[in-house]
Amino acid sequence: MRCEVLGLELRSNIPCNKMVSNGSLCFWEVRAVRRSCLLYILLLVFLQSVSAQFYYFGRNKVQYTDFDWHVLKTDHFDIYYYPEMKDITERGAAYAEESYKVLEDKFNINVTSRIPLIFYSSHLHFQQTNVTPGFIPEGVGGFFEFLKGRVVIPSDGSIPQFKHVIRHELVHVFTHTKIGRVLMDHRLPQDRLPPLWFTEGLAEYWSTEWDTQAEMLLRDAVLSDYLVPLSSIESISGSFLMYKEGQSFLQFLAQTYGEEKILLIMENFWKSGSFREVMKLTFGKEFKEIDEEWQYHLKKKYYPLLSDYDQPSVVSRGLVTEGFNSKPVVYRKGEKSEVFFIGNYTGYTSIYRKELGNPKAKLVTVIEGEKSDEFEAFHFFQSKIDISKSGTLAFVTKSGENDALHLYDIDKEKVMETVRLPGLVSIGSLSWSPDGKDIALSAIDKTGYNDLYVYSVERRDLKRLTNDYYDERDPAWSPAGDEIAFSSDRSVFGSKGKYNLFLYNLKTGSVGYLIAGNENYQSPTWSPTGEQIAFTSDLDGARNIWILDRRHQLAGATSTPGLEIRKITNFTTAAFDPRWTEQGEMVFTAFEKFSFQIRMIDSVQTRFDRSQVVRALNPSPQESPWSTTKIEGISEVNALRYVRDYTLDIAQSQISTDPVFGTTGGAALAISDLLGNDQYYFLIYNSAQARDEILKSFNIAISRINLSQRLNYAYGIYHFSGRRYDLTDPDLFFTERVFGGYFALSYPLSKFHRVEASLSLSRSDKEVITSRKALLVSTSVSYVHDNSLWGLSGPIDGNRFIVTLAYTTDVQFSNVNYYTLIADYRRYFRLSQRSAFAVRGQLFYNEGREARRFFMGGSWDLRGYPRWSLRGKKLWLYSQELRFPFIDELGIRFPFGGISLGALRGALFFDMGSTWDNKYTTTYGSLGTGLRWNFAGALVLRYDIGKRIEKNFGRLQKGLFHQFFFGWDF
Amino acid sequence: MPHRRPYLPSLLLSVTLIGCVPMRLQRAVKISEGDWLLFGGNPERTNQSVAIVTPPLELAWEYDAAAGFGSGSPVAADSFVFVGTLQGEIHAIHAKTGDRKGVFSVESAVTGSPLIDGISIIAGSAKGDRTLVSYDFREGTLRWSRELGGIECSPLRFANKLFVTTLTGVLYCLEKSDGSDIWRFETHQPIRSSPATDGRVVVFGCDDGHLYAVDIETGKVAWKFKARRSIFCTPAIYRGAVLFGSMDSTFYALSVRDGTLLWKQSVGGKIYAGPSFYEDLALFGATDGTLTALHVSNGSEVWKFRASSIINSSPVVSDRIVYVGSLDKHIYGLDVLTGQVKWKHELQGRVKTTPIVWRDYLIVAAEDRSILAFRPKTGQQ
Repeated sequence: MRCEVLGLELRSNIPCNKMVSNGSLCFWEVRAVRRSCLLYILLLVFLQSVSAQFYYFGRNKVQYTDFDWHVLKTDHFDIYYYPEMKDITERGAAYAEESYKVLEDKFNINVTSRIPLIFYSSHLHFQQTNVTPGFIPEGVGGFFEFLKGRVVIPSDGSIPQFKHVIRHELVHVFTHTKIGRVLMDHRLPQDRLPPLWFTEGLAEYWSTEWDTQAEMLLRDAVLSDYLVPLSSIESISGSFLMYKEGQSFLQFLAQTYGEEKILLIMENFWKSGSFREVMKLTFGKEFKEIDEEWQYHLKKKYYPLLSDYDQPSVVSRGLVTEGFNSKPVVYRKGEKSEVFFIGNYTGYTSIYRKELGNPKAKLVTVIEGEKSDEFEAFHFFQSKIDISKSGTLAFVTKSGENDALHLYDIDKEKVMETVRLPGLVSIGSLSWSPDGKDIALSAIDKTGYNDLYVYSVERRDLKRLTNDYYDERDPAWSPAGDEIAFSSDRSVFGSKGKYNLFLYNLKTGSVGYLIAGNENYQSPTWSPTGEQIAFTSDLDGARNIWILDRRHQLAGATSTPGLEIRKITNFTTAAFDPRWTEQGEMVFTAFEKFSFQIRMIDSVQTRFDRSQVVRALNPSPQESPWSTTKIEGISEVNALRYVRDYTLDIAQSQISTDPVFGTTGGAALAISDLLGNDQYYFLIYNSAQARDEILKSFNIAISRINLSQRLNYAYGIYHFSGRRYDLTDPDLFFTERVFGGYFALSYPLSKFHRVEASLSLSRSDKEVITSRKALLVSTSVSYVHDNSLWGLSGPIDGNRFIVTLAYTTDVQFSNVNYYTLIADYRRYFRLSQRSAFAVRGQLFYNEGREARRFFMGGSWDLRGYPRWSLRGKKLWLYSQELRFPFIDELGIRFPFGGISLGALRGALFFDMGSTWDNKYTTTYGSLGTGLRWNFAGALVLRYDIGKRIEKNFGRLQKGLFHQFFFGWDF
Repeated sequence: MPHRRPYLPSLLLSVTLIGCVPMRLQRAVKISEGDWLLFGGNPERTNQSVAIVTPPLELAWEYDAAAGFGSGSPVAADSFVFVGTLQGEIHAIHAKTGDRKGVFSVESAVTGSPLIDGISIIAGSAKGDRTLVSYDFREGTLRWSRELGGIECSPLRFANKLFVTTLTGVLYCLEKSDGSDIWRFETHQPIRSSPATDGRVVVFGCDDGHLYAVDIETGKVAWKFKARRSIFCTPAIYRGAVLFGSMDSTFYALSVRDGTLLWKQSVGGKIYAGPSFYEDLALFGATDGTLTALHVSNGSEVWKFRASSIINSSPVVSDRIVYVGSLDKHIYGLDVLTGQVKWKHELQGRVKTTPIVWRDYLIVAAEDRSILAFRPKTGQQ
């Protein structure tokens, strides 16, 4: 992931760092042109940032789906959607307008330009957006991109959650507008925003209520003593804990000092460049003092909980207590019971199993996710897995465009079948029928709504059970086989985001209430006999496990009133995903010490019988289910087919003066359409040193990149002229004028593989000692694979591979004619969570007339040798490196405060390689150790010390070499 | 080596001088009846003008103040309009032509209106070491300054006393001539509301949600009233009542004598700015974009006008027209008895400052940094 351009390293690579050739293999000609290098780099950075798939290594953001974009125009919004999601768009549009009014009042400002809202009907579609160049992780619910003010939001099947995200992102829009206006009014540069904890905390505070998930996190943080004071919250910047601490703090401020103070913080933002000073000016006291008030408030609120509640670790048995784990299910065969669950230990999310009853049992990986096309990603907290009585594990992963259902034979340790369900985009939880013939599942189709389905494994057909805008989740097939319990927001309380429990009668096709109330009732699971149903509920403020005993009902009672539920866990934090075992035990997920642990209760019935917390069930509500307002009638009048409208992304000009190259000036700019699918880049600069050189010294490049479909393409024209420095050959300056065009394609086979091809035609007039003219045709084709997982200083798991074949020829003068082969393979063997053994093998081969030389040496390849000191038309390199944690936290503490320098990583390495033209002479090598320091996540500083292996591996260097540089590990 | 003249410093200096003409008007302003000397137009802050400016109006001039404006209004007397900016400048503008007559800088943003007092402009600023200044615009010199903490209110003059409220939570009563303390009243919470007086008590709202009435002679609290949330609005005194709105979206009328609640009326948005009056009508804006007309006597609603966005500045009444600006970038002229739109004009920026009607002009500051003066179309008046 490196691109070495004039001593700067980009976190992406282009083959050109080893291929400084006349006929460029990459379609952005990168040469060792020192002059105007910034403009070059600028262009490259743009290109790198918008289309990572065009580069050396890197995973692919695949545009699987061909969206038919439309625009709905409302009073304040332009809403981009596709016709399949018309209904949810109309509901979202109405709520966006409603939110606008609310936020206008809260912020005491309006937004004078129309706000672009881009809706997707599922997270899988959302992951394909080109509005942002980066990958969108599973946990991201939406985002606001403030360069063009775009808001991008997917549905996850829940309308209340969709609304929450709409308002959350609109709070960002208003915050950005407000802060910008305050600074502009005071004639200050609009170059800063409040800290992330404030903006995200505010977005949460003004978009949702304090829910049990937030309560769980803050309770645990206080009771487990990891609450991060706001004065040092940078250490958890961007985390969910930061969001919720920010929300909690702002809620505290509003309750204690009045909500107006939050607005005044923004009104006062111009008063100081220090946010702490702004807080002091707003509240009349030091930020630290307010921070301590808030912490004290939380302690006072949560410490007394321990008198009535328990932490999960005190009252239940831990099965897996480290990391994030969820969705446990127990499978018993003979005397051996194992718990299967989804977990994330290594950085990749996978399915693991662990034997019960054996304290020494180790975790075994069952399905390794995020490394292959088949199991591209698990939906960590959403997709419940299930095992049939015959031992078939059913689970869901993202696999290509949509989710796929996999059936895994536990005994044979093999995936027997992968089922792609037509029409379904994202699949949630699964539940086997007792006879093992069918699977109940919840899934989102292109409408963006989550419904219940039954898939027949035998007949291979899919039957839809519900079809509405309510959010159906957690299906659980009854042991008798006649009912499916599930949670849904379809009761009257659902409009506030509350989930109740329902039963789907498979004989009649009707849906009936199981438990209703203005609280959350979720994750139903049947006892082996079917007489009891366990579920989670936040009835008492925290999500705990409760049991409904249906024996009376089954014995003849016909209505739910009169039934009672009993609480069997009394945790301070939360319990999720309860599953009964056949022996009357229960496994579940518990949150404690910032980890989701798999835990077990041994005797459920005893707890049920002794439970002191008993609640009578509410009668089923008589009211009709809820609805939401819609902006009615997407019609020809207000809904238009999307037409590309290009606006400026960035523009920058530059004038530079260099003692050798003189003065150059130029500009670069980029434009793109609103969806980011189509992008244009313009670069122009002039390097003339005298008036009569102006016309011939224009350097111009125009490129277009189209990302709207799976097959990405780019083309452009360029004209470069001027004095250059060739670092590959004899260290000399030369003059060259080159102009031409290129066309390039990139086709991602999946997230991890792609094929690339390019063709360029260019005229090159070069003067070194004598003049040389050429009309060059270059072609290349590459295959790239990357499923690596990155640690602090570089990859620590997976592998990366690229092979490129290229041919460059002068079709007019026959001055140039050579072919190129590049092969680069890197593999990372995981030794522990944070240590790895890395291997790299490279072969670069140029052969033919005027074939260019590659270069090697320095911290990035053959260590111990001067940078780029070894050159040749052929090159090979082999490296081994042991990467391990060295210092986890390096800090400096002063009497007035301290700073954290982060972590240091260590390395032991061995390199060997060689370069040559026609005759192979010498093999070089080195070995040593090094330190890596990740600076702010953007730059890794590297220090290596070691010995060269000299004289064709005949002796070790006398003394030691030291190298200090920057760059990511290979 | 050829001699090089220092072009750049000269150029920069000349640009600076052109950009900032020191304010030295070389004469005192002549005060006439109807001059708008302070925020609200009078010590009671009633936002009523004796001038009659009847729509339709046309733009007379536009002035670029190069920075945004706070919630205060321009003030005007003689042939000058004065306006404070959030960049910390006070501009003097020729009232007929819109030409710049001078600028002087204070330490920080001028959020409220300046106060014209003979040969002086008195203005508060939001932060710094000299947050209240009295500037002699005749001589172009500073008469006195005080460090009182941040000031975001519009100062009030009554007789020889000067009243200012501060972000440090203090109402100051100062000697007008030299700024020395006469008394001070502390609330311990920031005060953004500007003081108003009927000559007996000084009233103002506070972040702590209280409306305070302080005896003008002794500086002791005469009475106080608690709203449910903060009061940023400047109260007005009219017909024996103190009228104001609060962040609790309620408009209150209290007896100025003892603070008894006479009536209150809930509206759909927060109330940031004080009312204006016409006979028995009180008119005020809210963040839901409404301008509401209520009977002063009993609080009953007479009419309601809805703009497309927030109204967070005070309206001003001239004859039978009430003028009000909105964040929807419009200035509206409504029939004060019916709320019907008689005239409206779209501006380049949002309007969050209170307009004034003075002589032949409606003068309003817009967010795009410009001051605009409108006058009746030729032949209309």
